[in-house]
Parts: sequence; C-alpha cells; structure tokens
Amino acid sequence: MSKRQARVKTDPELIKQLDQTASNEDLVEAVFTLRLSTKQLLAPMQVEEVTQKVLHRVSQQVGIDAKEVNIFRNIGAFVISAPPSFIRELLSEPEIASAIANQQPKQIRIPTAK
Amino acid sequence: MSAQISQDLRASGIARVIVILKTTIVEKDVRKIRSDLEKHFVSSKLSQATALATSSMYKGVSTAPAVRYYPNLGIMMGTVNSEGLSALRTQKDVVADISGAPPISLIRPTQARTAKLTQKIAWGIAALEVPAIWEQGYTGKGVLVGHLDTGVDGSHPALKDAISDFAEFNGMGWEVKPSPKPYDSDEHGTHTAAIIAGRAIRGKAIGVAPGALLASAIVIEGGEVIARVLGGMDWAVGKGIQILNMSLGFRGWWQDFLPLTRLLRQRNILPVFAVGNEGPGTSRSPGNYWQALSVGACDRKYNVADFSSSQRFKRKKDPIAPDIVAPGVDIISACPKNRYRLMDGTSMATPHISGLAALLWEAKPNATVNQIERAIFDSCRIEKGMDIERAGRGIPNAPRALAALLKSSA
Repeated sequence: MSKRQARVKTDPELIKQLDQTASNEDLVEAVFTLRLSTKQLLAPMQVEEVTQKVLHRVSQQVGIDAKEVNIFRNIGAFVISAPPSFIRELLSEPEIASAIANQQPKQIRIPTAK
Repeated sequence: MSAQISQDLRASGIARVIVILKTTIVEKDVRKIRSDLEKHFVSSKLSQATALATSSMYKGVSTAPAVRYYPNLGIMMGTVNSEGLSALRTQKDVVADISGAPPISLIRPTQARTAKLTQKIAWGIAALEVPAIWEQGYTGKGVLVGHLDTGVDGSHPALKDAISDFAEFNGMGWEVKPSPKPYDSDEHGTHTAAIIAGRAIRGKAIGVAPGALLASAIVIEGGEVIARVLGGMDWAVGKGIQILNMSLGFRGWWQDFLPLTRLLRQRNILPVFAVGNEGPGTSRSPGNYWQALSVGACDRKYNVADFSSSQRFKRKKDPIAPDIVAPGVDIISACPKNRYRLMDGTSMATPHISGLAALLWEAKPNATVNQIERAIFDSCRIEKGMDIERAGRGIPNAPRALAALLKSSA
C-alpha cells in the first residue's frame, strides 16, 4: 500500500473483497466518502464536480471505466461498481477520505428485543 | 489478529471472540479445558469498570466471566481483553483458532405482541412529560424528521397524515421509480415512525410529535447494503430534514459512518441513533460515535433494560454510549394493517428522542443542532437505581429541555 493509500480509511471488508476478486472481468461495489473541509461544506454541485474529476482521472490512469456510479451529492459520498484495479487506484486519490464495501456481511438492522 | 478484534480492543479495551477448540479433544477432558480457558475471559461489565479504574463502583457486580460454550460446534464465545487474548493464544494444544465474534448477529425471535390502545397517553410519552409541552402549543409542526428504516405503512390511521415524503432505494442507492406508495417491508419502520410522529387515534396518543412530518425511506430490507442507507440519507438531507432517526447500526465499532455523521451535524441535522440491543459491554455504530445522539432503553420504572447496549470508550469526549436513555420497553405503537403492537428495544427508545427534538425545534426554529442536543442533555436526570455506565446522562424531560433551550436562546 502506498503512502497516499494509507491516508484513506479503508474498510477491511473492502480489502477482502478486492483480494478475492482477482480478475478485472469481475466487479466490486464500494462506497467512497470525499475528504471534506470541516469549515466549509461542499455544495451538491461541487460534490458532483469533484467526484467526476476523480473518476475521470482514475479512468485515464487504469484505462477502464467504472461500470456504474451513483453520487450522493448532499452527503459528499458516492458508490461505484467497478473492476478491482479501478477501485484500488481510486483508494490512492487525495480527494478520497474513506472507502467501504457496499455489500456487507454485517447486519445493520437492530433486532427487536421482544 | 482479525481486524474486528483489533478494532474493538483499540476502541474499548475489550473484544468479543470465538475460540474454536481442537477437534481432537476427547469428551472427558472438555470440562477441565473449558474451566481453564474461562479464566482468560472477562465479564463485559467488569472490563468497563477496569477501564474506569473505579472498581469500588462495581463491588456488587458478579466476577463470573460471561462465556458461552457451544458443545455441538466445539466453540466458546465470550469477551476478552488484550491479556486474556494473549493467554488464549498460548493454549495451542487445545485452541485451534480465535476469531472475532460473528459480524452478523442473529436475529432474535421477535415476540412483538398485538395490543389495543387503552391508555390516553402512551407511558413513554408520559414518562418524558411531553404533554406539558403539547399544552404550550408545540406538536412538532413545521419540523421534518428523516426516518430510515423498513418503510412505513402510509395507510395506517396514525400515520396517513404524517408522511411528507417516501422513497425506496436499491442496492446501488438509486431511488426506485416510480416511487411506491408508503409501505413497510416489515413492521419495524411503522412502529418507530408512529412513535416519532403518530397522530392521536380516538384521543389516544402514541406519537411524541404528532404535528411533525416524516421523510421516510426503506433502506434496510433485502440485504445489508451501504449504498441503500446512504441513498436514503442523501435523499432525506435533500428534503430538508432537521433530525435523522436511525434505529439501525453495525455491531461493534465501525468507523466508516463517522465522516457522514460529522457532515450531518455540519448541516445542522441532529443524528439520533439507537445504541443496540446486545446488553452491557456492547454498542453499535454509528450510535456509538460521540457525534451522534445515541439512545438506550429503559422501562417504566426507569430501570435500564437488560438488553440495552452500553459501552465505555477510550476517548475524552463523551466516552459513554449511550448518551441518554428513553422509554424502550412495552412500547405501544402502530403496525401495518391498522394494528398496534407492544415492542421492546432501543429502536423504540430512539424515536422518542427524535420526537422530542422535533418539539424543541418547533419552539426555536433557528436553534443549532448543538443547542437542541444540549437542551436535551441538560434536562436529563439519573433516576434512582440507574447506573451511569448503562444510562449515560439518564432520561430527559421535555419541559426541562424546552426551558433549557429557550434559556440558551436568550
């Protein structure tokens, strides 16, 4: 992992899924949050612009595109479905704050106690 | 060491582990081996006390470690600290492997009980003294509450006028189009929604803020998919919510919702999250972040419910989760098909606080998220018998919270 990658908080589950997906024929779904200023919030259009810029840069670097992208403009995050090499490269981009596997084995629903 | 164990040890000093015994162990030796291994586990409540370094507070607590043995699987599950984990690792003759406790917690049988509306005011609403605020004219009118859950039955009489917006999200976080009519993929969402903003039925009140509106989305049905929750969160923020109620969370410490929780506060949205139903020494993320207003459950005698999660973290700010407790045992609320049910859980306690926040925000529309939260905290009291390690600041009181808020605005 490069020094730049080390700055990104990466979900162990995403690492596992990337490691298990050897071929670029297969896709991994991951959710990324943008590195946001604590003082100034990005407007939804700025979130869109920053995301598109990063994705375009990564596409050029790895020579492939993400299969699907959904940008969450109001909360500074996006989800992509992409080959593992694309996601690994995205992890090293400075605009990225954290990365999470979209498909989680954990249960998010809190079971009703009674 | 598994990432989950490392994370839990770093965050709280303890971790839930599964110890897989070697299959070569013969039956006659199991009792002694279990007895030897049990010494290395700790009681989850005692480990909190150790972290506190105030053991005198815990003189009455049993020292028996909580370890469960599963004979058919040949495993032991319990809580360890770093020393215990190291000791277990040295037992190579009998221990085959040690892993983090399963991230997927079992869904305990839901024994929600069908109920009839008999009380004029549900006990949870009365316990918070909410009617005293209603008498001053505050019902949450003009406040939009985000509700991310299993959906909501929009045809229920208590809720048909309470839903401002409804959406369903797919696995990539896209809103399903055309938008369905408000429905519940389960019954959990309808129950929590009506605690927040259910309208009185035949003069019987079940909702804390019966004038508030809900932006409700289905995000936790059909698999554990992060983008679904984020899609709902993004949509709700776009609708202009002031409070986000999430009776959901990942078991243990999971830092990945932290930037989003911070962002909610930056947008002046109060994140009100359930702490979990797994008892002392446990909690769920994002409810266990200090940036969230986390809620545990108490019963009508103000005892913290046995199931209500609580955990002390190694951080200076707000080290105890939950922040507060609210009514979460024998809570009557709406269920799909025009029914009512009693349910227990921090999922039921959390919407009481979202409703209270809605009342406060109506009283002072230009209040900041910090002012609303502070007013709720300042109104809390530790009731007799409440342990602060389990209850945080205790149970809030609506009139006191309103007074604190109005004072802060002066």
